[in-house]
Amino acid sequence: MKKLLIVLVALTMLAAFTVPVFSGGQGETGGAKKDLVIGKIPITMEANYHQAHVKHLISYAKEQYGAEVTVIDGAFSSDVAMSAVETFIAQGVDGILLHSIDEKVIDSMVKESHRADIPIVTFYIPTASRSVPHLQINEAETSFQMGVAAAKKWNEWYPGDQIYIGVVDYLAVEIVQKHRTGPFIAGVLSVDPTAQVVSKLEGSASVNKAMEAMQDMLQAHPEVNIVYGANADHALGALAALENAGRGKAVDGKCLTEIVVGTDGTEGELLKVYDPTCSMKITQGLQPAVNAKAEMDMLMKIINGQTPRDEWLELDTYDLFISYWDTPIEEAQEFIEYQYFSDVNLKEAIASK
Amino acid sequence: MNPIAAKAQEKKYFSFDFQIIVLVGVLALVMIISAVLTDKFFTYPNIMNVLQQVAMIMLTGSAATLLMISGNFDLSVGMVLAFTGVMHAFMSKNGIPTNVSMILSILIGSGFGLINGYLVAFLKITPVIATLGTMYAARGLAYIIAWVDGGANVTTGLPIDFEVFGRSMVGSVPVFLIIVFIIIAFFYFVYAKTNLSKYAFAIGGNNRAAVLSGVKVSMVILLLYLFVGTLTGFAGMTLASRMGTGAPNVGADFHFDVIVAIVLGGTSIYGGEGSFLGMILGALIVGFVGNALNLLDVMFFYQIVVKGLILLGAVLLTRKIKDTIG
Repeated sequence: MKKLLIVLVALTMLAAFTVPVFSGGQGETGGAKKDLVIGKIPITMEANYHQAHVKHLISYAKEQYGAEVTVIDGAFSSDVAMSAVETFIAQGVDGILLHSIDEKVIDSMVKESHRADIPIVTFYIPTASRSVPHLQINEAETSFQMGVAAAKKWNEWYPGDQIYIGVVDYLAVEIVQKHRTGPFIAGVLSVDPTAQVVSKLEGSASVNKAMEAMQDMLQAHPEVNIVYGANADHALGALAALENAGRGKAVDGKCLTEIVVGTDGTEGELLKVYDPTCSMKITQGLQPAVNAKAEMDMLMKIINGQTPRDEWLELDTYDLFISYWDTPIEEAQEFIEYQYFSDVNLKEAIASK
Repeated sequence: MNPIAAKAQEKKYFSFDFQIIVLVGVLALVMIISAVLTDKFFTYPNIMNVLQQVAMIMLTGSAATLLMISGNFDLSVGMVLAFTGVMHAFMSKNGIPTNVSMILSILIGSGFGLINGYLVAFLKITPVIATLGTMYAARGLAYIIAWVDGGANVTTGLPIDFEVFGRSMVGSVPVFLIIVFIIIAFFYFVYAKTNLSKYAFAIGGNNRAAVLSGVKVSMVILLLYLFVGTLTGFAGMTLASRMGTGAPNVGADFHFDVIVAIVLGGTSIYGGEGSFLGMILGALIVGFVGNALNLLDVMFFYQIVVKGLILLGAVLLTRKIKDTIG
């Protein structure tokens, strides 16, 4: 019985390895045109933005190019993303869209993909060697704009008041420092060169970690009056800590003790931004629809031979600057409905609180 | 009692008393050094903040200490924390009265506890494997519910009273903290005075002897897992209420924090010995160290190293104490 089992297992394994060799589909055999299959590796599927991005990508690829999109979550991990690239190579996809965390490791992924003759487009974080077409969200401009807006408003309301900046950050992610935190601080300093950064604490992309970090920051630096969260969870976590401490308030949009600034432009953030009693007032709206279409178009140009696959080409997209004072709520409503498939009515939701 | 056994028991209790004294000393040292390095440390709001931050660890640790003493542990607590919080938000948002949703969330935690207990105690699956499995299941379910809701968190459309439990105060003390400490006190009573605790020690010390002595080992283990799940459900529900959102990405390190507190407090991961008070002190030490590092703006990466060193230090210290006294 045992010997029979061993033989059966061995035969099964042999079949698993050899059947694909003899099955069809290994080369062009004529017949019906195969639909394009695109492999997408988002950095994570745990955030609103990336979920919406993938959703837009799948429908756009189908409608515009008749292409199917297969998604493997990169799980914020280089080795998971590398495995995903290898999986897509094994599946013989026609192109790969990659968003991963480490430039040097992305270089290795690109090399593997090109070795298999599969074009690849990177998003948000480029290859270290700058060797393939890349789609970049130019967040630096909007981040700078947010810093300027926050500082101007604070000076307008409280002239002569020293500005103290606190950041709930992604300390380990270099590109966030370069595109978000750094430009935000620069924006504040451009209005008020005396502004000080009093604290930068890690939010770990988690609402409760951000809340705990902000609680500690408030103890060490109760004077903090501009709070920046490097993503929606950081901003909302920081706001929760402020509210727990009896702060986080505004009267008719005038912040009483601090201005909270976020990033992402999620429903949760916008409900706070447009609440006239809440001190969260500014954010930048990432545009998943715009980005998904742009990266798909970029990849298709390579597949169709219009763009070389192994030359550096950077295409920039932009975030939407959103503030309580400058962006009508109707515009924000349109933004979340289109970009994030939201069915939340901001006005009604805020009025019901 | 046989004099040799009596002396052994006396030595064991002395060892733990001494360990508690050492932990109190370490805690005092941490607090003194922090107070010297920053004047923001020894303030009422700061102390209260730290207590709020470690309350959930101590709450889950209250039951998890006994579980570990019995020779078992639960890796799923972090993800159950996240899932129960998400479910509380989801249910409240979708028509279930908030106070009912609170109870149901706790019961969901109990459900996970029962599943873990059944897998370990009756199906005899190793605790690591069983609770890893439920950990992944809880994590996936948390994200699925949030995705069904339409996003990555359950944030919008929550009833006005969703945040009441997590943010209500009695004077300057949060209501939830009072309730948490009452529960912890109850579990201290369970640890100190009940047969359940004795059975946990017996099972952890010598499972076979416990069975032969007539202890219903499987039921005891099931009950302990049930308690852990229930308390974790309470913690998840409370955290969601405090944050004002049900977020699947909370609790990623929670199981580690709980285990560190328990091990730091002198509980052996092999079972058979442990200390409830030690767990409380362990949680406070880790909480205050993290707090002090944040107050001093020490970079986060060093904090992770410090946490690891604290855990290693705790294990070495425990062994040293046992070798010296034992």
